[in-house]
Amino acid sequence: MADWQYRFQQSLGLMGLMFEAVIYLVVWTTVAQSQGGEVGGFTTAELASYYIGWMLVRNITTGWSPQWFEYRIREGEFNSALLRPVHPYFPDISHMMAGKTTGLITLLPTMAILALIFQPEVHFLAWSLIAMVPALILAFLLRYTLMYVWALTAFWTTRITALFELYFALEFFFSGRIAPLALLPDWAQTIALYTPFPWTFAFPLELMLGRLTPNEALFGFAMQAVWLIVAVIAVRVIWRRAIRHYSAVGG
Amino acid sequence: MHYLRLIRTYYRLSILNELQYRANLLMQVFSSLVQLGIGLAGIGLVFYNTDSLGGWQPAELLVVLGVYTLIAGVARSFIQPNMYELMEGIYDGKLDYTLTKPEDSQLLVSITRFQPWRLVDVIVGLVVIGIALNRLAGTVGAAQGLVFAILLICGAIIIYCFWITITTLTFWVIRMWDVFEMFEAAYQAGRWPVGIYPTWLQLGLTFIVPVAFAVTVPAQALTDRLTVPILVLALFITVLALGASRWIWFRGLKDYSGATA
Amino acid sequence: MESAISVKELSKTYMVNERSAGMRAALRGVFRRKKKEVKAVQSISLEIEPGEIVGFLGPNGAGKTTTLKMLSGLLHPTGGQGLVLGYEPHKREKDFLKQITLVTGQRNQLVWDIPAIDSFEVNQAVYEIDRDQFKRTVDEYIEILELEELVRKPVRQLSLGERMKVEIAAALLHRPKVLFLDEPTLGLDVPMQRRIRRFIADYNKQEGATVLLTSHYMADVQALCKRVIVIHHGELLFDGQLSELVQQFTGYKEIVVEPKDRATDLSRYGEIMSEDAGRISLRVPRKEVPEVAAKLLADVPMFDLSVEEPPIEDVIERVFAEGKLETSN
Repeated sequence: MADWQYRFQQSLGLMGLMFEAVIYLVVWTTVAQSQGGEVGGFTTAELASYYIGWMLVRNITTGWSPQWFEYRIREGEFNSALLRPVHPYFPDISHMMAGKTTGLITLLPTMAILALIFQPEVHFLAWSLIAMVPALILAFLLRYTLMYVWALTAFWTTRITALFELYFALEFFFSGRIAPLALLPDWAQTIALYTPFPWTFAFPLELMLGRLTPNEALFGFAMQAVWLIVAVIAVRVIWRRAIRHYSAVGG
Repeated sequence: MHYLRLIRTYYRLSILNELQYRANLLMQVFSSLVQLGIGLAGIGLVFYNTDSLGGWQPAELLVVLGVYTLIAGVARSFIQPNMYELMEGIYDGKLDYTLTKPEDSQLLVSITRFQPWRLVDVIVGLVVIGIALNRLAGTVGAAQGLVFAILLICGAIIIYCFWITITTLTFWVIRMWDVFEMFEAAYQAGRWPVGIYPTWLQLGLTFIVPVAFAVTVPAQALTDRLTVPILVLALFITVLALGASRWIWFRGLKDYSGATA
Repeated sequence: MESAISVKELSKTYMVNERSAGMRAALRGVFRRKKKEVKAVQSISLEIEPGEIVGFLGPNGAGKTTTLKMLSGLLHPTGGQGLVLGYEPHKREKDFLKQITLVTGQRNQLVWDIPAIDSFEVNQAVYEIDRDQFKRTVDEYIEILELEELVRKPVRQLSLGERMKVEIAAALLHRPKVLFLDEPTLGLDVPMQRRIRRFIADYNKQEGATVLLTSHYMADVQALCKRVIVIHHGELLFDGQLSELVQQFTGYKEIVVEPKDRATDLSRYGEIMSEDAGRISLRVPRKEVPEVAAKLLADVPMFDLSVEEPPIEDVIERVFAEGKLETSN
């Protein structure tokens, strides 16, 4: 039996998604209320909108579990060495899209209900909403590629689950999931900006909420592009090394 | 007594088995530390932005985190492995073997599996509670400690009853996996004192997914928040849960074995 | 002597949700579930004396396993009564359960990751076996079944046959008086099947235990059971000495012919049992087989010819269809 804890901690668990959003919405709302109704530039109503939008972004950007990655990479080992078919990096997107669509069907009404309960406040900007779409796609691709890089360690170790736990822990804080990045201490925010994490989550979310200036948006897209390129290169380099290592040793 | 001997035999077996996998201990320690890091960082982040969370001070939140981790450790070592095995046993019929044994069936399905490495979380939880109590400048007396211990045990029992009831539903509903997921997700709410959540959610976290009794109430005992009504309610619910879960278990068995009477 | 197993008009009826194919049916099923009655076991009566080894024969779905489950306490009967050692099995009394054992082929009750010897310890605790007797029993079984090296390895490292040996040993540690064996030799190779059979036979002789054995394999039954019970469609078709039934089976053999011309009429060589993808099965009295086979080979252009024992399923189908047993010539 696979490590079940991990399986449903990171896979597309809608329940987990909804609970997590509500929990942290309540936590930060409580904090805001004790600070006069606002924290880190977010009013309680704006926090509500953050976390409801959070659910949508989280749904779009999640994909596969570490076990899935590990499996693909191991499979890819054999295939690449022997037959050279499609590189395992390219997954069955259509299958995943189907899953996301059914997820949305449950998610959107839930978001509506939560909106009724928590009374969010948001000022949508047309350009920002439109910009959110490519940002979401890039965020998804970026996150997927990053996870792929991380998962390539499967070539050298079987302890991929532990490494992913660490990865997800860092991501939890630096991508804007546990809290809007503005709530982090300055030093943490600086660190975050040097990581790819904000661009996998917070960026499209803040675009959705119309909280970015056009300049900030452009910067964000640039960062997404840069990190995506870096990640793709990393995949290719490590993959090649790993295959060489594998064919030299095993074959 | 015979039952104790039985439990000891099964647990001893599980320990012997897991001792083979020493690497798993390292993994568990690593995992527990990462989770602890997340918990501490979360509390740190909250108190970077405020002085108190719903009236709870930092050291008090540490108590909550400690209890949360401890109970999670108990659940993942003693309870969940058995429940997964039970669920599978219902699917593939291996439950039959358990049923032909001359022992109480509920007892048997609850003790066959024990994962000792997951007790690391219990240790981590206790350490965190210890540090937190130190911070709280020794306002905890022996009586309080005793009440806390009792409530912890009650909390663990209630969690067990919840789990076995949910798993028993497998007799009637095939896809329980989603419910397990839901529980894990809801349990995360226990990282924070249940009082901060809106009333409707509090009710859910008390009576549907018993997070409140498992985590917040014991933490209340150590932080001078416990009231007698809550203590009495906790004890009452524990007894009720034990009875109810046993009744449901035998109901499920009846259905499984096709008893019409 | 009091019967070990006494069954009177035992029945088991299931209510199954009838589900037809198609979207419309599925939608309708949401609102109104049509229930269908499935009679798994219909009014079976039998008496088994202590120390008998009885074979339950019948194709899949005949009701053998259901009967076994009712007698071992896993299922409640819908009608009638079954008594095992004087107990009503479904009450699952402790004293009853301590005297029986259930072994199912291909499904393990031994814990997967640990050596079998440790699982034995668990059984000792569960069945409250006296320490000394337990040691003696374990040593004895290890010697008889040659388990010395096997018991210290984790069960998952054993082959299917080795696993079965260890399973049976574990199941008999508490020296039960009644054994329910459901396809115990399923999937095992022939030498291993023989080993297991011998062990069961010896145990039966030594302990005077009653054995109820279900099996697909005639060989199991022939080796162990003097008495057989044939069950089909939940009904008891035959209860008697194996020799009678054996005569019935071996009165005839099947010749399977694959003629070059599919349309060839072979009915004058023997009774046509079935025709499947160009292979025609003929039922021929045993004594006539060499003669008929020779004639076929000479007269009929063919791809292949083989002589086979009739499969149990076909014979039982026939028996049921005819409503009685034929005696052989």
